[in-house]
Amino acid sequence: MVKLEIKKNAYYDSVTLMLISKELKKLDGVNEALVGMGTDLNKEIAHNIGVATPELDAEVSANDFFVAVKCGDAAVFDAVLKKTEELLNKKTESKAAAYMPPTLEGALKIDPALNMAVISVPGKHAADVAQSCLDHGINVMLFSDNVTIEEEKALKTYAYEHELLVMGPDCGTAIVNHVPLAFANVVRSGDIGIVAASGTGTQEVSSIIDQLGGGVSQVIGTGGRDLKKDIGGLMMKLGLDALENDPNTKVITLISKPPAKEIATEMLSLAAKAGKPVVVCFIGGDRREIESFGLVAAVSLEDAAHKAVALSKGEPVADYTGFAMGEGKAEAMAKEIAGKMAKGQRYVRGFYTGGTLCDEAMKLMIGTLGHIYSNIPLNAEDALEDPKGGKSREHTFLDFGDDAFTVGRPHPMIDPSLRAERVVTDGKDPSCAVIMADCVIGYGSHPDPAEDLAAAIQTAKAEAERAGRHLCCVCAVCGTEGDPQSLSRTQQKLADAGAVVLPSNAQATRFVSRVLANLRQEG
Amino acid sequence: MMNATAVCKRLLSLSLEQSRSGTVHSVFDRAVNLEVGGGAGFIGLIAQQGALTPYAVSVRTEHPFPEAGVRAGMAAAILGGKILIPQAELEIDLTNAEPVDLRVDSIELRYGGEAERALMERIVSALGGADAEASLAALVIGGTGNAYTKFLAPRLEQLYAAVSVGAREAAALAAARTAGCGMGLTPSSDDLLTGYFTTLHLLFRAEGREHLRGILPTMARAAAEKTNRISGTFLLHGGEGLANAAMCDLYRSTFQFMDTAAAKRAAERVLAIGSTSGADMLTGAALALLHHGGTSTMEGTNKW
Repeated sequence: MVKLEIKKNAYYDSVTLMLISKELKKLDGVNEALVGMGTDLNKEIAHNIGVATPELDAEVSANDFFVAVKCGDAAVFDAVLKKTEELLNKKTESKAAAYMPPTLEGALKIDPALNMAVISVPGKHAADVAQSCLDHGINVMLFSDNVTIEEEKALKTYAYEHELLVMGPDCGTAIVNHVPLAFANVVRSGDIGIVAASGTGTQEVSSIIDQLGGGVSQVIGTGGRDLKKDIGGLMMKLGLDALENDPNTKVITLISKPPAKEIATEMLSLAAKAGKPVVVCFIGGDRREIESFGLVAAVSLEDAAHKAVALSKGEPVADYTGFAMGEGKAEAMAKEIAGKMAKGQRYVRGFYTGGTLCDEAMKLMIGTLGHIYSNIPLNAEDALEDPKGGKSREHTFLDFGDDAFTVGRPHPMIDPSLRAERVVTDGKDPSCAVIMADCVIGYGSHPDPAEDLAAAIQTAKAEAERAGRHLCCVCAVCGTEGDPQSLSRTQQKLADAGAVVLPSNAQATRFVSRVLANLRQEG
Repeated sequence: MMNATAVCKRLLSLSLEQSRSGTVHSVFDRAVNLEVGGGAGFIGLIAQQGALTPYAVSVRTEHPFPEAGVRAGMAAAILGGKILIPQAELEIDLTNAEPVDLRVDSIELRYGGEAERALMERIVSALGGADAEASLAALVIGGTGNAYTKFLAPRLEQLYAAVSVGAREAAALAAARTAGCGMGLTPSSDDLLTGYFTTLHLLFRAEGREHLRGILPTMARAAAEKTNRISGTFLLHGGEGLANAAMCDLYRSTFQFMDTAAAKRAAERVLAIGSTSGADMLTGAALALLHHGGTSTMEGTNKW
């Protein structure tokens, strides 16, 4: 049914009208709603979308406010009227609370004290928006990518001089004053502060800290280019300084890919003067250099979390390179799986939604595998031609979050379907022995990223069985029990599909290495 | 007593010419419209943080106007440089406020094509931060747009064509067929037309096409008949070449001073007007530049 409410010669401000329009469309049973002044064109649009009534044409003038609704029944329309009146009668304060200002100026009018902005606009506009925030003394989390290095340098130089944060560009995660921003996990509060130039690497470390019973004080992202020479680690320095001076931070953890030599030296030198224990995870970096500054070097993201928690609890610090299930069980399982495989199955395929997790896995395996072909290769000669459209080659790892896969589509942590398709495709390859995959949960991620992946694993394993092969699928879930998707439910879903589920990316990688080692032994 | 901080020069002159009586037409949290006759349409009281509009005064007030006791239907008067609303015990002395010239013609044109390009760049950059779902920004920056942009696009084509050749009647008809579309108090297409009109005043003067300016008031009158009275008043002002203070600052920062930082600040202030009004005004301004700007502007459009 189509119903109409008219308020003759009634004027309401645009913000109120916008709110009413948005809220009415959310009501159960409302199929379509149009709110506005009764101009000829608005009436024409009402006809076009099927919410016009004879009264609209006959009784409504350009100076009248109208609400036209297509809804299920009269009860729904009563709810529409009630909601409309409620919104029209709202006091200024509550309007301000519900209002989502379209501009920074508008936001500042409502809350002049705001001091943190998350920016997600097309890259070509992002630097301008970020600079406006900085001009107002507002810290920035710059989720946008496609910001030039020159723009990043200018923003960060200004921010550094004014002691403001620019987290990003392309910063995927942060937890500031216990508020998760963008892709972040529900991590309990604690005394471990993190400064990181890596999105999923940070999620892995913070999630494992939570799983180990620890907690975080602040998680500050810097963006992946911060430790490049061009930028000079400005935000890593500022973040480090902030955590040094934060009374709630007892242990500091730095996470990044190995920086440029001189930047690394400067960072490590500053960290050594922090006056607090500092764990450094330069993924695949030189641990001796880190330790030469008296700092704690981590051999993996998981190891960084273990060491930070140990320091936080005052426990001894040691490398964690084992398995939660125990060495013996892991080896026995790897051997059993390898024993089921057909002749010719010898390669691993790693299909990742998290770029840092993919990078970490390759770095942990490259020593034994020699070549790993990838769209984010460790060595230039191992770059995979046409990673999206072409076939995998021997040991292949793909970062589905890389530009090659995300042009015109959402990031795979939001839409993991492309990765799921690849699992099925490569499962048909007779030379494929193991498929590895991450599964990143938490805020911002797909509401159930295990669903597609589990279905793909089931299909791939079943097809391999029919072809007389045994396909091993190994997964690690990055997240916490408190995440909306739940760590245990996600792990269970993947295990039910036949995957071997390990508690961390590093353990998953070590397990796959053992399967491949057993395969090599069996010849 | 509310203190006036800035006043449109036209209103100040009107208030000193002769006394006029009228009523409060409408009251919002941050604006009041008075109906006093005398050819000005509505006279506005604007809370200080808002952009000053033609025939309006900005006042410093700690509370929303309804909380100050102003109600629609109350008697109002302009008398000896003051605005009076006796029932609300409100007296505003306009002579103490800074007079602001909101005529686009008051802007000195020191830069030409260069200014058009700078203005376009500023607008496009600002529109990147607009609410693309609710506003008409997609008409300039692309994207899927909304029901209104799809509805308006073919009508705007007719508008550009008529204006380009100075066809007064066709242009007026096209403006009338564009006005009154959108959900706001000032429907989005009205805001777009307002930005379009004021920018055309500037462009035609800058490029020596003065003869084309004559069609703009005619177009505005035709459009104003198709919308509500408040929105229609803004259209009429736009047709006369009167813009709000933020738009004037944007024009002045480019055409008179070529000051990028000031232009950026002004564009942000425009964008903050209303729910989508500012974005829609900027959209109209950009469309004027795109379809009627000089050669140098058009050459630059491929980057947007």
